[in-house]
Amino acid sequence: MKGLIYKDLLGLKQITVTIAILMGFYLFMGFMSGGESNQVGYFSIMVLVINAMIPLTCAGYDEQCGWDTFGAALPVSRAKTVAARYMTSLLILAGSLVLVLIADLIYTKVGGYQTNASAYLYPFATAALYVSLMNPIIYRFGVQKSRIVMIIIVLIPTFVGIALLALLTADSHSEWLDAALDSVLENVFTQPGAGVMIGTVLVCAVIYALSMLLSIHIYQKKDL
Amino acid sequence: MLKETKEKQDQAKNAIEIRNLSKHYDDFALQIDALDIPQGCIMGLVGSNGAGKSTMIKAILDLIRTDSGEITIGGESNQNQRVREEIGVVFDEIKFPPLFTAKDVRIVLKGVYRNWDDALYAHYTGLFKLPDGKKIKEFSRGMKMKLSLAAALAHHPKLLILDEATSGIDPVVRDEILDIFLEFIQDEEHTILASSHIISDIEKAADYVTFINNGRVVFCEEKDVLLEKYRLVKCGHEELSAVTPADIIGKRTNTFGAELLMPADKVPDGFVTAKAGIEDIMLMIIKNEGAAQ
Repeated sequence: MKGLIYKDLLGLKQITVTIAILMGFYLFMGFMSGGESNQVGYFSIMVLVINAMIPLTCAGYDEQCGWDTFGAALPVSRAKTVAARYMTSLLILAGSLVLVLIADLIYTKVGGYQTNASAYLYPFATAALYVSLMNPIIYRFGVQKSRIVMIIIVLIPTFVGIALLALLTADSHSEWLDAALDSVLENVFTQPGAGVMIGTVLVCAVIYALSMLLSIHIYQKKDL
Repeated sequence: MLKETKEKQDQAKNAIEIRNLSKHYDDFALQIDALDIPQGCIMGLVGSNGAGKSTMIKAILDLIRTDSGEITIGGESNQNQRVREEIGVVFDEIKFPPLFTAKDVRIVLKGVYRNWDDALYAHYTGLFKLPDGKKIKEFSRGMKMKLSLAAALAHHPKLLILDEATSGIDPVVRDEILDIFLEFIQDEEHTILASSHIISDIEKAADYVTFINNGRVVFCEEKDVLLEKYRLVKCGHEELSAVTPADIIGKRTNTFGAELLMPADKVPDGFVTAKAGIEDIMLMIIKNEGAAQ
């Protein structure tokens, strides 16, 4: 299993420079956005979004060179092969969180901004959920089809939601919606309590584990 | 108890045993009732495109979910992960990411195989003159195959499985690779199963030949026995009547007469014969089966 994690990480070295440049850019943009607080939130969202895409990137590299066929001939069970991919994703997410914490330190010490845990908690949870959703789809449909499936199940409902929201907020009688949105945003950007933090992490961990079990089930039945 | 011991001993003599294997696709079915690949030999797997060679190899490696049947490797089920420690695999294309280097391959496979031997890998990469830091995408096809072979051999496998590994590479590199196979097979516990379109390679190196056509094993024979078993018979149209039709395995006709593939012991006296190569045997049988359908 260790070798498979190395394989994914070594495969990513080709995009390391691009990711480093993007992270530097978003770190800078956090300073430039001119807000009064929670600058790291912007950086953490962008970093975790970039890194949540990495399972798709790894799977894409595997598909491109036919690694799956070779990998299945190695003395590693299919369950461990899938577990290795989830472990890689987790390592990258954890690494991203460390980067965000470092950025947070820079923002607070150098920029003098105030931040709170919501800036990492929710982007991290979103990225973990995204990986949990994406991996079984990749194992079931392959990388190319997964992109289309993701458009269908994520992007289309998102765009429909945004369009509906825009329509509703354009209505002069939508004070209740404005108030509700304000309330949600206020809660999201305030320091979450310990219960919320632990609860969020636990829910994400359970979904991540269930996703891994589903991916193993799919991959074990697959002809390679 | 004695019977069980005897069965175990018999199994140990075969590197691979296949029993009642079937795998059905929409347009193709692989059906192998029984096939034994003896330990210590090079088994050449021949057949036309789509005959079922790669499907059989995938079934042996448990890469596909078969409908029925049992495959054992060294007496153990092929689904046993431990068995894979003993197998080295080379496919028709290199399966490592194109931006990997020989060093990256080492790092990855060292983390996978318990018996990985850095020194042996360095020996093969040195022997094949493979640069450590060059990206695979910059390798020639021959170099890619050599790297695959070095990676397949560096964990001391007992069974080497090659799926069209020598196709598309020049004769000099093929010859180098064949030499490695012959060196590998010096250990009588080692076995090679190699599918190839290049019949000359099989004729050169294989001890046994398995011919697959339409998803079925047509024959599995010792190469030397096979080459002695059949003859190519050239005759005119009028001489053809002297041959018992049931003795004709394959036939090619032209304006001057016919070329027949026959069992050596069935050739009537006075006919001009020539030794039949594996390719002749294969082509004649395919042609005959095609004509019969």
